[in-house]
Formats: sequence, structure tokens, C-alpha cells
Amino acid sequence: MMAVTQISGNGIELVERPIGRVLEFVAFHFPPEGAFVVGWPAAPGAVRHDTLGGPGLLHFAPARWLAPSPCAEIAALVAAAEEAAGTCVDVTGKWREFALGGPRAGRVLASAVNVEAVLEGRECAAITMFDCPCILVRVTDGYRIWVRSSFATDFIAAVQSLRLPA
Amino acid sequence: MNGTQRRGTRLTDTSLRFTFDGREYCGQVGDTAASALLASGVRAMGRSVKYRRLRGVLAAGPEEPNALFTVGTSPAVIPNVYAPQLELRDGMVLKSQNRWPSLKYDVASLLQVGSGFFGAGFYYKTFIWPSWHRWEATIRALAGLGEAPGTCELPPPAVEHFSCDVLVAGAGAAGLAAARAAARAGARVVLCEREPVCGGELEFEFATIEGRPALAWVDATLVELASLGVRVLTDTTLVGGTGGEYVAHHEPGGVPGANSVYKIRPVAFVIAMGAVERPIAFINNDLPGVMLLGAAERFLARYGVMVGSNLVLFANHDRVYAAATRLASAGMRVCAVVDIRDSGALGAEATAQRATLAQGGTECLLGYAVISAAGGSHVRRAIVAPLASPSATRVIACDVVLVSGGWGPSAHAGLQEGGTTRYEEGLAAFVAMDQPEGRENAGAANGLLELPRVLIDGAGAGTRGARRAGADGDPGATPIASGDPAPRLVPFWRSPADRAGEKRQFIDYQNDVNVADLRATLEEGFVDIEHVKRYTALGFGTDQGRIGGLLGAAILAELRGEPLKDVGTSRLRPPYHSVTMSSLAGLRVGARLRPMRRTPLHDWHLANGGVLEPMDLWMRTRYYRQNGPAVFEAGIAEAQRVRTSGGIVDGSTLGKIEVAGPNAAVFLDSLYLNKASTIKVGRSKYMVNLREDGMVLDDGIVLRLADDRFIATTSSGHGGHMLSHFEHYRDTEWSGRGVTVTDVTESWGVIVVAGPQSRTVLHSVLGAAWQPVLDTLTHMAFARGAFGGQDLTVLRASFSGELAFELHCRPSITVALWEALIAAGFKPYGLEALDILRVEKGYLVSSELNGETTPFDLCMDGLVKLGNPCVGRDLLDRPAFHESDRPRLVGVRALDGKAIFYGGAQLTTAEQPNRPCGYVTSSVYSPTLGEWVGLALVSRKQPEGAVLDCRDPVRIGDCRVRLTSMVHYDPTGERMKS
Repeated sequence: MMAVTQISGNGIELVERPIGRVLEFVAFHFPPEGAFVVGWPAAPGAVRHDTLGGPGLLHFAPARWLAPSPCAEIAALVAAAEEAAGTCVDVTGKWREFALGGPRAGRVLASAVNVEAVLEGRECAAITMFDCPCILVRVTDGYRIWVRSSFATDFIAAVQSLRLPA
Repeated sequence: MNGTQRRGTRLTDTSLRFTFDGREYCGQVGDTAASALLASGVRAMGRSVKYRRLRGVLAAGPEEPNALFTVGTSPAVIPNVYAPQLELRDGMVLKSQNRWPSLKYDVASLLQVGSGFFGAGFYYKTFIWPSWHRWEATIRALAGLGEAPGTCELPPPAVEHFSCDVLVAGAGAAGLAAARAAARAGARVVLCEREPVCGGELEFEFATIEGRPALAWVDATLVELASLGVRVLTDTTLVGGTGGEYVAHHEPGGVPGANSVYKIRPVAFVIAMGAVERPIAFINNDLPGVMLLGAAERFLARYGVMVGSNLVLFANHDRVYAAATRLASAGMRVCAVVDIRDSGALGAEATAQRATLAQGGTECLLGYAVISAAGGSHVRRAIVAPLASPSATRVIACDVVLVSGGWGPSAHAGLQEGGTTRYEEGLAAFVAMDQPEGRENAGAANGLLELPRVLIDGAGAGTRGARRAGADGDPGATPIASGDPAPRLVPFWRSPADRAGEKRQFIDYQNDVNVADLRATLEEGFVDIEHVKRYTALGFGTDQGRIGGLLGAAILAELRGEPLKDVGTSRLRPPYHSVTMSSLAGLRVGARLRPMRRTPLHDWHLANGGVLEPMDLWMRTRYYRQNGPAVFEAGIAEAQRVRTSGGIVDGSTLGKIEVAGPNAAVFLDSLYLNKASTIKVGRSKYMVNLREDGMVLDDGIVLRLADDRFIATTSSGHGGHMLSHFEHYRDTEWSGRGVTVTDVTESWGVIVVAGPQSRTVLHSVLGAAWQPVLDTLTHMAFARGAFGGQDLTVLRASFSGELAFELHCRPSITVALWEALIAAGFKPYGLEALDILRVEKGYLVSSELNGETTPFDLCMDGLVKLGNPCVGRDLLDRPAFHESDRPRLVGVRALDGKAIFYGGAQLTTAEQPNRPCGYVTSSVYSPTLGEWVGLALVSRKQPEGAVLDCRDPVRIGDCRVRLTSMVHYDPTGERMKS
């Protein structure tokens, strides 16, 4: 599957990224008991980056982690965590992944949420944008957004309909 | 039209044209509608709501109660735009409001003749006979403000959420000082100003700040703010806020679709929204030509408008003399300054100004009041009298009466979310106090009216805000200034008048509330200011009491014989001023009104004749156009096809919750009426949830994937609710007890393949690898495998009464699998057919799960007898659940086999024809049986076979029905288990 540019222009670019297998890990306890797993993003909002530097394991809500297209290292980490204290569910198809970039990317998000407040002291957050459930991560070239797939068409349409004053 | 160019702080020399009530006028770029019309000699700009009295401009800000215009041409209009704030644009079309057929000749103004009968409370007492509805249409036609837009084709507003360290509302002297101090200290500052330019009173006040004229200081400060990165939002009013987030509304006057909404979360908030000048009530104080003194000064300074030729000024404070001096020096003749105080009350500066004015020919009357304004369509005379002898009146010819009764600090923002008020004796007004952490008033909003104190207060508030946000830089020196002296105000609210005159002493201009109304209201027994407000409409409408609120409270206090501070003012609520409806709607407009959830097959349905309808947030196919001209015919055709050969339906909207962990089984046991722990791996079970009160919550199939892993399906409309229900118990009673809950609804597309040929079709579609599985799969068993390299689960379960399979597949292959089934000869069916199939078989449709039915009502006694101690189980033993007249689900058919009956029809017995013993919950035309069949909730006293009257007089008429078994079709289930 190729990346698909959904919106381009007016200082923003919204690209849908190909996404493969996706896992959600849920811990039985929060915070996880003991040392849990070394290298695990234990703090809410923490993100463990994968070998390519992208967001690999996102602590998007208390005791709940997302592993989109996990590399071997992340997959091993999740497997170890499942052994320790939680369950892993294959949620492939639940999320669609978008990269939002361009100089006005932040302004697009500001139409829906106070990004600064949402990401204050954390790298990712589960939020609702344009009435669509999302997970938001700030990355070096903009934002990465996972949108619940049944809402994704609405999300794209909402971004397209925005009026962004200069 | 005024042929000469005016000079003002906001004007350019460029001319523009606009129309008002169909007549063309000329203005200058920078003009407001009010300033250009005043400059063109237009006095009357609107009519009041109740008596339709002709009114002119009273104020120069959003407190203006009279001059509200409708902008644009019907249907694309914006109503209720404040004329003094409406910045003109070339070609603008303006219309006055509350009149028909014209502003000058208004039919409803005849109401003034009977105004003596229309006092406060008139409506409540009069229009109840013979019926309110007899009067409703007429009153609705007369009520309201302006014309509602007839179109919503405007773009949505621009919405922006952001944070800052210090938010300053108001860019007058205090606001600018606050913003500058905070920014200098290193804080990130946002400054909102409701006007298109900053400066506030400094635009016309005699003032020097830091050695410069006030306007030069404003310009220099704005340059500095820009260099410090302060974000200045002009034309933007702070209208409300909640939870630490404040809403500012930007609406450049009268430009459709140009509005913006800012949602700002500051660390500190400085309210520097100034003060609102208040009028004094005197007879005919609503004549066009009566205006607030400060408004006249603003029109002069900003737009070079001289509001009249011969002025009478009426006030109760020193500043009237400085104002008179400025107006006179601009070329207007100040005929008289009428001051209610005696000479001992004047300060030195005012005394000197008064002497200068007197030398210039202005009559300065101390201890006098304006008793009345007189004239026809506008002011031509002021009748004045000494307060010591009110009957000793004299007439002063004039064309304008400028009035100032003092100022009321803008307490609006400070009274939301916890603020209270304190009474400020010197101002005879209320100031907001008891502010939440990080919020404070500054300047005039804090009750300060002398410029040096205003600047000190503003700078202090800005510095404290910055410190709160952690900015510890140097805020710089507090500006040193000189300006107008202290007002030395003596409270004065209304001039002497007899009872008849009180009917024309207006307090709330927009709603025609006068002193006589307040007196009558008190006599009716309404004493509290909140009751008085509601009985009289004082403070209703767009000005929200800014003009008449304090004045009304003060006169009420006088009539009650109590001090004003004990009477208080009515509660102020957001928004601070009128906000266009599209801004309130935000981005939720048109197709974006609510989110729409789509299944993986959504586009296929649309492209292939599917008629979709919302179910909860989901869009589902009701029927396919190629199967019939309308839903009834198509549904029957689709259902028939399923019974004879088969069909497929999109079931992806089913909620799916994966429950995992070593205690997953016992967790589910605790939530369902029957047990999940007895389900074998690879099998599923139909299960039912109860609410805590014992009512049925939902039903669905639970699949056991492994010893410690299940998928619980829910009905489509209950998915979110069921997830919350599960998560609630997972996070409370089951917290940390080895179970997790994950929503996997969108991870699985679901295709239901139903009909006698379904197994055959699946053989051809899924291929040989699946053949032995399909052949051996028993009812409620499932198998997991792959299709197209992706996960696929095949569950044998049926909600149609036919042999059926549910294919749970990944979304990426759902369309391919669906199209393969189509290619194999199966056609899709929609919800209409699904309902037919379900009702024929006696399966629950959504209307039976209405939150008021117990498992006993729904004939689930067998599940209850299992004795599983789940949520809600204990309350099933309540005696009320077992009373003989509780409803019970039964089948229902027309007695003659021909009559039509619909869901919702009431069922009665011949003995009690006016007392329903039940109602039809669902009904369909059964193509298989050739008659209408249905389900009904009927009193248990009615046995199967009973004949009842089915009453539906409005829709279809009455008929007779017979109670039957719920299962109308294949009662032994042979077809389903074949």
C-alpha cells in the first residue's frame, strides 16, 4: 500500500500512510507493577521510537499502548510485556494513520484542540479532533495522527473544510 | 449626504457608498454605519420591540440598544448588528429593524396609543383567553429582533484553540499597560480588543502618558508589543469562558462568514474591559437625539462626526465639563451644561472649565436636571428645572441632549465562574471581586477612572500575571500620566416626574421598560431584582443590561426605599454580547453537524444503489434501489430472496469488544445473564446483559477465541454504551484483576451470508481449504483462518432464521470478499429486509430493548433460571417485576389476516377500550406468510390467542389482532440448523 496524499496546499499536507499490523497492549494494573519491561514507555503520553526513529510504541491512555506496524524490536517488547502483566490485542484495521505536515499543520490542529495543552509534558495523547477519536503525536516534521478508521473519511473532510485565516 | 471630508482617528479619505432602508448614502472608509448615518443627518435608526417607538443611536459600543441593523439582502442576511460597531464596506446593504412597512411609518407603532394598557406583565395576564394559541402567531410576528437568515451557505467560522501566559481583554489604557508589563517580563501575551483599533478612552481624553500625547503613547506601545511578540486580536470580543478556557469572538461587522472563534487557555487573565456609561432617566429620554455623552465624544474623535449643532449636556460628575470643552472646541454649540450637583461638589479643574465654558456662552446650570426632552421625531427642546423646585421648568432649544450618569465597570467577565460583586460608593456601581486564581480586573473594570491609577493598576495586573506564568523579567516602569480628573460623581438616577411621566422615563430602551413598569412590578409583589428582570424584560435582549441593568436596579432600590448595594444586580451570563449563530455552531455545520461512521463497504453501498440512513453514528443501508421503487417493495424483495436462495448484508457496525486475560471468563460471567465460562473454545453463545436495575441492556453473541480471550459482539447502536459499561466494571470492581477490555469494532468487517444456499456459495468463494470447515461447522460454532492472506473468522449463527454464516474479516479484504460473494450469485440486502426476517422469526428488534423491559418481559425466563449472579440479577426478584400486568413479548397478527398494523399501535380489550393493555413494538409485512406480523408487549393477563383491538387512529386506522407465539416462521428452527 502506498502513501496517499489526501490534502495538499494552503500550507498543509495531509498524507495517509500505509499501515500494517497494529497491536494494542493493555496492562492489568496502572501504573504497571514493578520494573515491568525495560525500555517500556511507562509514563502516560510517553513514546518509544522504533529503529527508524518513528513512533513505535505509544502510551496513549493510562495503561493502554499502541504499536502501529511494530518492528521486531517493538513486537518483542510487547510480547515481553504480555508475559509480565497485560494482554495484547491485534487491532489491525482499527486505525488509519496520517502524517500532517507543512507550515500550517499546527494551525489545522488548533482548529480542533489546544495542541499545546494537549501535548504539554507528553509526546502523545488520545483526543477527539473534529469529533473523531484520534491519537496524536508530535514528530519532527509535523504530526502523526491515528484516526479510528470508521471516522477517517469525516476527519479528512473536516480538515478540507477548514477556513484558515492568514 | 455630507459633501465634506471628515477627519477622525479611524477615517481615511477614501469614500464609499452604502444603502440604508433602500436609500443610498456616502461614507468614508473607517466609518461605522452609525457614524456615517449620523454624519448624513440621519437620526432615527430603529424602533423599540414593544411599543415600536422611534429610536436613534444612544451609545458607541456593543451596549447600543437601539440602532441594530440587518446587513445584506434576504435570505443571506445578518441580523442585529450594532450600528456603532458595524464597519462600513463599499456597497453594503443595511436595513433597520422592528418596523413595517418602513422605519418612518410603522403600522405596529399604533401600539403606542394603547401603551398605557401594555405595562409589565400584560402578556402574562391577557393572552390566556380564550387560548394562548389564538394570539401566538400575532405575538410571534411582532416579537423578536431582526430577520432570521434564510440560508446557511456560509463557510464555517475559523476556530483556533491556543494557550498563552497572559490574556488581556481590552486594549484601553489599563489593557495596554498590562500587556506591555507582562510582555516585558517575558510572558507570552494575547491582547483582545473589541474595536478595530486600540486605545479605548485614550482616543479622545485629555491625557499625556510618559510625556507624550495619549494617542502617540498608544501607537508606541503597540509597536513595542509587536516587537515583544504580543498577539493583538482586534475586532475581537471576549464573550465568555468556562473551565479556564476563554472564548473570544472575532466578527468584522457584517461580513458574512468572516467570523472567527478563539478558545484561549491562559495562565493568567486580566480583565481590562473598561466601564460602560449609564444614562439618567428623564421623560422622553428615548427620543432620537438623546445620546450618551461618551458616545458623542467617540463619534467626534474617531469619525469627525458632530452629533448635533446645539447641545445640552446633562450629568452628575465633573467630567461633563471637560467633555463640553472638547465638543465646543470642535465647533458644536454647547447651549447648556445641566449638572445636578451644587457648586460645592465640583473639583478645581471642573470649576475652571465651567468658568471658561460660561465665558464662551454656555449656560452652566448647577442643581438642575433635564426633566424632559421634547420634539416630534427627534429632540428639539430640553425642559430643565432646578431639583429644588422641579415645577419651575424652562425650555432650552437644542437638537441633542447628551447624558451621562456615571459609569458601570464591565463586570461581566469577572462575574462568571465564581466572581461576586462589591458595591463601590464612589462610582455608585458594582465591581467584580472574588476572582478565581489567576484572574483579576484592572483599570475601569476594577472601578478606577483616573488615568494614572488605571495605568498603575493595569501594569500591576500584567506583572502579576506574568509572574504567575513563571516569567520573571523586568516589567519596566509604570507609565506616568495625567488625564481627566476624578469624576466626583454624585449618584443620580432619574429626574423628577409624576406618575404619568414615569411611563416615558425609559430604563431599558430595547424592551421599553420604564419607571412605571418597575413601580407596577413592585406592586405586583415582585421584589427581587431577578424576579423584576423576568417580569419586565429588564436586561433582556442584545444589550444584556449594560445600559439599563444598573439604572433599573438603582431605581428599584429607590422605589423599595433601600440602598442600591442591598438590591444588587441581576446575574450576568455569557455571551457578553451577541454572537452570530454560525460561531456558536462552530465547525458543526451542514454535513459536519455530527460525525458519520462508515463501514469498509460504505462506498460500495453508495455506488451500488444502497440507500443509507443513520443508526447511532453509523451509516447503514436501508435497502438497494434496484430491488424496488421504495423501501417497502425493496425490503420485501430482498427478504424473499434470502428465504429462497440467500443474500448478504453488511454487519460491520456490530460492536465488538475483545475481553482478554486470565479472568476474562469470570469477568464476562459477572456481566451477562448467562455464563461465558461454559463456552468452549471455538464456540459462541447468545448472551444478554442487564443494567444494574435489572432491565435488559443489550444482547449479542460472545465468541470464545481461547481460554483467556473472548469477543463480545453488541448491537450496532449500543456499541459505545456497552464498551463504557464493560470499561466501568473493568476499572472498578475488576481493576487489576487480570482482565482487559479492547474495542475491536473497526478491526473486523462483518458480512452476514444468509439463506439456504449460503454454504454452497461460501464453498465457491472461500475455496477448498474452507470446505471441510463449512461442512462440519455446527450452529454457533466458528472457525478461524485466512482469506486473501488476511485473518478471517467464520461463525455459524443466524438472525434471519435461515442457515447463515457471519464472516469476520479484516477491513482490507472486506470489499474483495463482498464482491466475491456478489460474483458468486448472492445479492445484498438491507436493514428493511433484515427487520422482516427477524420479526418473522420472533427475534428482538431494537424497539423491544427500550430500557424498560426485564428478561421476563422478553421471555428470557430460561436464562434467568440459570442463576448466574450477574450485574442486575438481584433486582430481578423485585415484586414489581412479577406483577400480573407486567408486559410480556408476544407475537401478533391481524385477525382477518389482511389488516395492516404498525409498530406503536395501542392494544386494548373490548372490556376496557380506553385503557391500553399493551402496544405493538415491531411489525412487518411477511412475504413468506403473506400477511402483516409483529411483536407486541402485552399484559401477561392476556393469553396467547386473545383477540385485541389494535388502535392507530392517526396513521392507519384500527383493526383487530390475535396474540400468537413470537415465532411466526419455522418455529422448530429446522432451516437455521440445516
